[in-house]
Amino acid sequence: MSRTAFIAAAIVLAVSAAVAGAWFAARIGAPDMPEHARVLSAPRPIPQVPGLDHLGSPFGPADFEGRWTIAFFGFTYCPDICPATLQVMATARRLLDDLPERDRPQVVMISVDPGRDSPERLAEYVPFFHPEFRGLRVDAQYLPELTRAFGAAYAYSPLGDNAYTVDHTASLFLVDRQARVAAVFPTPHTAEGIAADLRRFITLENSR
Amino acid sequence: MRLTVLMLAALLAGCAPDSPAPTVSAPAAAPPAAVPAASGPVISGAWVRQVPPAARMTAGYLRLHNPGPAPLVIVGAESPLFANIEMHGTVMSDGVARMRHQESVAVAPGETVAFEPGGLHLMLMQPRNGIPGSGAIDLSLVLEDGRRLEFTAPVGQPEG
Repeated sequence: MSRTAFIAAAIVLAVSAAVAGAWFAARIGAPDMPEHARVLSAPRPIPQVPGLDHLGSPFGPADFEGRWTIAFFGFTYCPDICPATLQVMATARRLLDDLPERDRPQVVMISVDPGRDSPERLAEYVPFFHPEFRGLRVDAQYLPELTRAFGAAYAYSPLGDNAYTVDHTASLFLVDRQARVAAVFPTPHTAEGIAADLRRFITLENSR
Repeated sequence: MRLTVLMLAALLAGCAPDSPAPTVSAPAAAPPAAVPAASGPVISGAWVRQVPPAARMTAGYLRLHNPGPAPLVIVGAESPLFANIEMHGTVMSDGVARMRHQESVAVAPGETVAFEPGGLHLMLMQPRNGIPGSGAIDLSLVLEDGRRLEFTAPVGQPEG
């Protein structure tokens, strides 16, 4: 065996040993912590404000109870960020199809543009990305209270021929089974990262 | 040893970043026969986001390479299918996405500008007959010197 080949073999062996060691160390420790989401030290309850889902049915904090939910803010006149987020979420949701129904997350887009986004409009838009996705519309007067609970911001700016656009927080929010905002996924989002973290949250929940 | 190198190469290839599914290299505005295509601006990887039928607008993405010695300045875009197209940039600050109109986009000599999700994009507005849910859309970029770069962008969704 030449000297180079010996060194190469030694390096391969050392790296393999290190990887195996790290893997065992990770296995025997506590369940994995989420890697992408920032967990809130004090979960924030979703306030009781009147809202309608995309089918026109009342939608309030009770609709978040019992399931994990990924909620985010958007609007249907948004050509770039919002459809991209919905697309990433659709892929993430499909990556979690193997979970039992109670663990599969609900996905909700909350409109920051109630002036243009009627429930009918949300119905034409949100379920296109995944048939189980829900749109939520609350009247403009309640939007500040709702976004505050999430720690989200929004603002209206003039733009193009549709008169205005809505600047909005692009993070995803994880709402726990007690209808509390429990964690935040900052941008950028990947379907694999979100799905993997969701599994970690469920494992942590089951290990308690 | 050779095997190790091959395995490393295979591992690295597996790490290549995902690219949007509909990737089409479109040659720039049919150059005169005497001029090699490589000397003109090159548009590649163009695609238009597939959106619900109810959507009033969608976004177009592409890369534009400027191999020439002078800067290229894009001042607009046009399509027979849309009455109005603007260049917009999404800017993220403190987690808030802000979309702003761009009057022009300059590409320095030798540089490539990317119109991509979460950044610069063509905002395709006022569809003349609805937004196509499939197929491809003819588009052109309008340059400051009056040239037009024509290309075709397939309609689709990026992976992941």
